[in-house]
Amino acid sequence: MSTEFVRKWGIGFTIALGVFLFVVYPMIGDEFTVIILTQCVIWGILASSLNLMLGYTGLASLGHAAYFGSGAYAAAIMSVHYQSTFLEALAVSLLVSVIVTAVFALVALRATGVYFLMITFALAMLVWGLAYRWDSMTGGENGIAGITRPDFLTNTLTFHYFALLIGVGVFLFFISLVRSSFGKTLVGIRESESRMQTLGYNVWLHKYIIYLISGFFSGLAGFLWVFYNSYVAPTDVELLTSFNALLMVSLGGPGTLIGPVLGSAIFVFLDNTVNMYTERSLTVIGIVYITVVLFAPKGVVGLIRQLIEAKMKKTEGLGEEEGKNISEA
Amino acid sequence: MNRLIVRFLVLPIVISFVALLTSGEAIAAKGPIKIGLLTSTKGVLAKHGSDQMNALKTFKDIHGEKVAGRSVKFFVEDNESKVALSVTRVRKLVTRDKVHVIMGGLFGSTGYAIAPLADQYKTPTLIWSCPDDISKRKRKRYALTYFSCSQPTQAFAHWVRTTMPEIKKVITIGPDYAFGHESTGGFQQVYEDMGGKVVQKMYMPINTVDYGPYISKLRKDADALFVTLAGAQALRFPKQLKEAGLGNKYVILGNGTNTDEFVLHALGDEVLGWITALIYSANLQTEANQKFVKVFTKHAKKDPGYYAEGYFGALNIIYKAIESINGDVEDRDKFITALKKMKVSKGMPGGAKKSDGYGTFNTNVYVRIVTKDETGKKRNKVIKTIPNVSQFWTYPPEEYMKRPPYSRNYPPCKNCGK
Repeated sequence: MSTEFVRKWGIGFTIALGVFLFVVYPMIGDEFTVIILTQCVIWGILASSLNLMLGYTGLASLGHAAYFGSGAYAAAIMSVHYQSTFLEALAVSLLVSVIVTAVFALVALRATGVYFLMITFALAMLVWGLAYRWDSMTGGENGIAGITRPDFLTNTLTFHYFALLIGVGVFLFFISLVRSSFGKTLVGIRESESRMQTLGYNVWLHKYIIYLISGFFSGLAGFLWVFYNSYVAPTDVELLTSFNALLMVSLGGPGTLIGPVLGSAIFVFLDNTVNMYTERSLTVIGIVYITVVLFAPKGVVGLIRQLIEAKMKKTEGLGEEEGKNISEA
Repeated sequence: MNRLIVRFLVLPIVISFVALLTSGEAIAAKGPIKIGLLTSTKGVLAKHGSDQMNALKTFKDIHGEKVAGRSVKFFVEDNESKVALSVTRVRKLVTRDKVHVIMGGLFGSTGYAIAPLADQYKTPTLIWSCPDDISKRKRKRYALTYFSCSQPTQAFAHWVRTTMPEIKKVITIGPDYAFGHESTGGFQQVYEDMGGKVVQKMYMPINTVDYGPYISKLRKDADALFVTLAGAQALRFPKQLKEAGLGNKYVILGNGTNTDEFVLHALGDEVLGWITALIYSANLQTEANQKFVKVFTKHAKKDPGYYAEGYFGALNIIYKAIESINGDVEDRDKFITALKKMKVSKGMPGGAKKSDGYGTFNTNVYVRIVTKDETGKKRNKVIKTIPNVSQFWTYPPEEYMKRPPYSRNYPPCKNCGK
């Protein structure tokens, strides 16, 4: 078995599983499972867009709730206060999240490392503060309820496929982005910023653009979330949401395309099922996360890769050994 | 290679077919009646949630798990004190557990989040938390509330104004979300309509730990505080007020949640003499209440508060409604119509509840004062029972609903800064 063979079949298997779980199963499973799967898709988009920064560029942002939240709130405000159409809400939602990102990125990109983490967090709290305090628009702590989906999306299943379609589109875009020379430059920046600078790349501009892209798609996730949950509240914009996104990425495997999607699926699954069996669900979930962080610092995908590589090495090693024996004989 | 194809492509297809065949629900004649419950046993409202779970045990003990000849199954979901999570939890109850009715919810705002779902899924929903507008301006066909957040405080304001005319200026303090706004708003509206003055209003986030900045700003020329506290606030605020040396400076009035039995046993003597109003007191001497308190105490090892009574009472109303339609809960329309017409007095620890036709119940409001009994245990002693209080107090409903809903900015504070 060559590495290429394992890789190919690994991808094939993942696609088959994905198609079965997200496309076939919703048709036969119960409605609640579909609701949960839709949630996986939406969080997957958020986690993947954070991954562009965290995994590929090495920018750990603790403020993605801000872009997610501004997209969500913009969509909610448009559709409840201004009775806009679905498309208008989408346009405004994306526009607002991009504007917020553009402004925040200008400030945040002046810092690096842990300071970057702190400043993105602080900036996100601004959006939270706005959601919490701008009563007349955001409903304050009560949030905005009663956001209705357009007629063609009221069905849970239709909405799932709609979200899935967008999710797949985003994922394909991310694949081509990561594989492009722009994507390679980002990895270069992650590995050594100073070297990229010396080579003549405009590091700041690259970071700024990826920040914008990441914010844009986080806003898209927020937009979907609003129509998924029909409710938005300051809790959607708070630290916990940013933190959860970060957790999904590190759980699945930062710097891999499938990692964040897997991470968000694990997260949503644990979040929604453990509490059916035990009252101590938060404790159980906490233990799972700690275990993953301790034993699989590169996430679940990283762990699987490591295991496969170890196995391959072993078999290859064995092969060499056997060859040696034969030649000796 | 072929084996791999079999494994990766055929297997899922086989599994999906098996799933398809087995997922069809067994069509039983009529299964149990399913009641979905929403509570919070984690986070800032964990204490209230555990009281509610004990109330559920008490309810099962007293009323059993059978009504109108059908067995009853309860499904409990926890929103971890997060309003947004309630939406997912309610969806789970409806789509997976296929419940016939939903009851519960802590946080006034939870009610606003889940009420639209009641109509969307055509599932009768008795919202236990008290979102004002679900029974007023934003009424839903399939949602009703156990009471309205401003209902007790409107009646209380009337009582304060008539029995304590010596109080001229009041400061209001409350948590900064629906419940706080509605509790405070109800008090201010009636109190000022009767000629009283609210001279300062403060709203603080529910997670506030340090009340120092708020306490130091209290106007010294006021006579009384009208305080609304929720969750862990009820534990922290009284202590900090006392530490600031202001424990005896003002007459302390407030919403009954401040000294509710969920927290009363943990509070010090600083709350003695606090006068509060609510739809319940564990100290009520009625037969129904004494039975409730006895069984509840067995489970919880402490007195029940209104979080417990409300859960118990709401379940009682649901049982009575099911009886009135002979257990035909599958007819959602009939069920919700029956629920919205209920008049229940038997077995209600907090006294009679009478539907007002707008989606909530007329209820008794009890004015209580915190005292110590001979054993040194603190109690909410009832000093006045205001019977059959409407959510609109004495205002004509249509006129009432023309006003904006109570919010951070309404009623406006006309006398602030004067």
